[in-house]
Amino acid sequence: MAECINRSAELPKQDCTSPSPTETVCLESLCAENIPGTSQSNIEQSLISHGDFYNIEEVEKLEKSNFLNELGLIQEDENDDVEEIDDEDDENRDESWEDCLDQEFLDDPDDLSSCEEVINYSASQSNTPKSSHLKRSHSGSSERTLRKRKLDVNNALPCKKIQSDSPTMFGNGSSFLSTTGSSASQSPSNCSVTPSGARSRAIIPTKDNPPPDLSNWLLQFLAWSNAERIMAINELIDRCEPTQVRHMMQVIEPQFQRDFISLLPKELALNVLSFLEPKDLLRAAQTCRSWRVLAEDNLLWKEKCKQAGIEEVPKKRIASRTHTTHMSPWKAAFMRQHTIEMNWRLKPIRPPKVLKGHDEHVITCLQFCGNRIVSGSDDNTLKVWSATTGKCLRTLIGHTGGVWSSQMSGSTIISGSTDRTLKVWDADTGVCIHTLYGHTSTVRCMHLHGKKVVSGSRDATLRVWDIETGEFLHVLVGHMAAVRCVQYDGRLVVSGAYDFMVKVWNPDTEECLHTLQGHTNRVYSLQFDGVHVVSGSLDTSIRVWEVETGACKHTLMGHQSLTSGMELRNNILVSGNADSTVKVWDIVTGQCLQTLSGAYKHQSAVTCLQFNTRFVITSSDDGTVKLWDVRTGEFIRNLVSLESGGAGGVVWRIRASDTKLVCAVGSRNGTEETKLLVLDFDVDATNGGGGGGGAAIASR
Amino acid sequence: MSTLNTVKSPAMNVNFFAFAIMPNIKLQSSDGETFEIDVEIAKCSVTIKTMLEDLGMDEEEEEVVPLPNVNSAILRKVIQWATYHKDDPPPPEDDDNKEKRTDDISSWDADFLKVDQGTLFELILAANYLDIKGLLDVTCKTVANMIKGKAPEEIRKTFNIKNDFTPSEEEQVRKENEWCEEK
Repeated sequence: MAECINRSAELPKQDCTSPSPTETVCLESLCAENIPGTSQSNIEQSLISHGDFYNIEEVEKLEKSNFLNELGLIQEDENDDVEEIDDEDDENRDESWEDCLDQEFLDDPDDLSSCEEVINYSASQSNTPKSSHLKRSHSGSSERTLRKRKLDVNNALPCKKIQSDSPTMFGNGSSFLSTTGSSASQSPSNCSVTPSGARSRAIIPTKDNPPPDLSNWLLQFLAWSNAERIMAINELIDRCEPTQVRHMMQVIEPQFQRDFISLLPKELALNVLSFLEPKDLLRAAQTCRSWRVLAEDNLLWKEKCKQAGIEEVPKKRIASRTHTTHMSPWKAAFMRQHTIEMNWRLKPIRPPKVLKGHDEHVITCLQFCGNRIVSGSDDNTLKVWSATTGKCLRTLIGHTGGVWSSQMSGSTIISGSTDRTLKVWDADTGVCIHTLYGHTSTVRCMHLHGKKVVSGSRDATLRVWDIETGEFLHVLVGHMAAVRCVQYDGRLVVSGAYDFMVKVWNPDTEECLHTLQGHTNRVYSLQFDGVHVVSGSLDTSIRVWEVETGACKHTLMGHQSLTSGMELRNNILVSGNADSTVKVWDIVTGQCLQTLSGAYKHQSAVTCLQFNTRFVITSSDDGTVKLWDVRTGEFIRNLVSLESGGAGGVVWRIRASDTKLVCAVGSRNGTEETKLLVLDFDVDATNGGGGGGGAAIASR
Repeated sequence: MSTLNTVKSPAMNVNFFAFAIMPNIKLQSSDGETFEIDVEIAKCSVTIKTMLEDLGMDEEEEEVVPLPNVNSAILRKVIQWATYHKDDPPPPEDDDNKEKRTDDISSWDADFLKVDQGTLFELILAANYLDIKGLLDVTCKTVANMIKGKAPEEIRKTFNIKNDFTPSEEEQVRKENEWCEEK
């Protein structure tokens, strides 16, 4: 705009008959308005049906207005009698136009033969420019083809005419231009570029009021060969002011644009879209109708879901509830997952459900699956809760000592107690089905697989039981002190004990296959994926063992204290430590990937943790539950922060599903009442049973 | 495919450098221009490779492979690309489970694809027709990069797209595609 004003300021000096500066500015802005919408599309439309008398007139007017915009100012300075000429000339002009078109069409026999080819080509490839000459004289198949056709002159793509008629002329022409500059008398035609008179014009040219001689000028242009036209255009540009050239650019530029997604064959458009991230796909869908359809493609979103680890489409009712119209089921699944992730990450946390129970006692173990929560306590009972309503459904009474371990599968609950027994319960009825006698001291740990449960005891033995029949199957003897942790995958039993040893057992033969020696203090935690055994000890180290050979692969150093809880998933291990930090490890390389600490770290021992592909959730004696990014190790936020934190309030245990978090909280000094907190991160707060899809965090 | 045998016309353009590069296959563009190139380069197009194998075209013969869907300007670009990439290892198979990257376009390719949208558009069609996976990938990635990170209105501007939603539709689409994020 600055240039524009400069220019108009200069003009009066050059020519005293030119319009006032304000008028010039006004003209410029008029031109600008013409650029994208009106003039261009009108030209296209009229070009399509050039045979029609009326439309030829239209073309003319529009071409006029376009060219006027580009070079009208200079001409207009010198021509002032447009009004008089205009109307009278119309008829003659139309005729000559038509004549010219016909002649041109017939003059070029090549066109007829190549027309078919062009049309075929357009049909097979949507559209392709070829020869501008040809398209103009043939009523083309689509608006877009025509538009593209016009570009070729500028594009300088070789077209037939250049090749056959005057291949050298283009070269000559351009060198001529560069060397001798603008010598109008030598150019193929100088009639239209040369000002036609010194008449001054009082009005601004418009569509209905074009400058005189424009039609002749254009006719002359159309009569030229491609190479001649290119030369003329070069000359024309040479004579343009910067603002006019810029205007040309603004007119031309959109014609080089392609709506790839709408114009490409569907599978290619989808291929382009497949490179976009979901966020960009959502923006693309808002562009226009045809983009929306493609950006909604179900298979495209299935791919996005796969990449995000979403394996299945949630049930229909969930999809239709969250989004109104016919959204792709996979897209709905993706959006749901994303909304849930954001609910965990940053949306305001809804007030948790508070499930009070177990009085002032400690909740020692916690199970959460589907809609059912089971808490075990040193008050000798277990309680079954509804995660939806928060109601206590059953209290399992029968143990004569504190409950210190539990497992759940379906509606079967198994508990281990200081009363030296295990009990098998029906969660629905609250009935104790079996009491399993055999251990001679506290049952401190157990692991259920199928219908067999393996229990570890302070009596230094492990026992294998059938929970359906209540039968005692095997006893594993070998540890020298209390068995503190056990893992069972249906084939092998792995146990960790206060004798610093980890043992691998064949439960069926009751044989100890390996004794994994290395820890220099009590072993408190174990993970076992069928290949690797990972053991956490009070000696501050974590060891990774190969179960087949019994070899120690890695000793993971870095923690300062007891590793109390661990979770292993796809070779990624997350360990919670009494040193108040959590570490993420790659157990194949033995590398520590992340340490979850920093300014927002726990202030006290980590009590429990759980992780999935996105988050790590950790609880601590400091009365908080924290959410971390598993990839970056960054602290995201506190999910729970007890007011009594630091003054006695602690979080003992946590369990999370895809959409819910259950925390067992309380204190030993009465500052915090013992209770469960249930936090809901589902898409819809009223949608209670929505723990379905994704299942990213599985409860153990 | 049947047209293959009907085209026996000699090359329309004389390749002055024929003796220097020892070409042994001729490709004819839709507008009749003939290109002589190394058959190994031509074979990076699975379409041409299959044609040669299926039809048992004798490489010694002066036969011309017609490519009715590719014009000379685009074919020239494709050959330029294929010549540069002739020693590339075969592109890896797509893995649906892996997120597709678009930030791995080599600087040569990025330079090569600094063209107007019309040319890029036709390169995609040509790469698809000729079945050149590497070129198809890199061209599609380039378009994807033109979309990435843009607001709907910016996308429209980039590709000269008309917003054809009614105001109520637009509101609906906006709601449907809301993306909640951290920043």
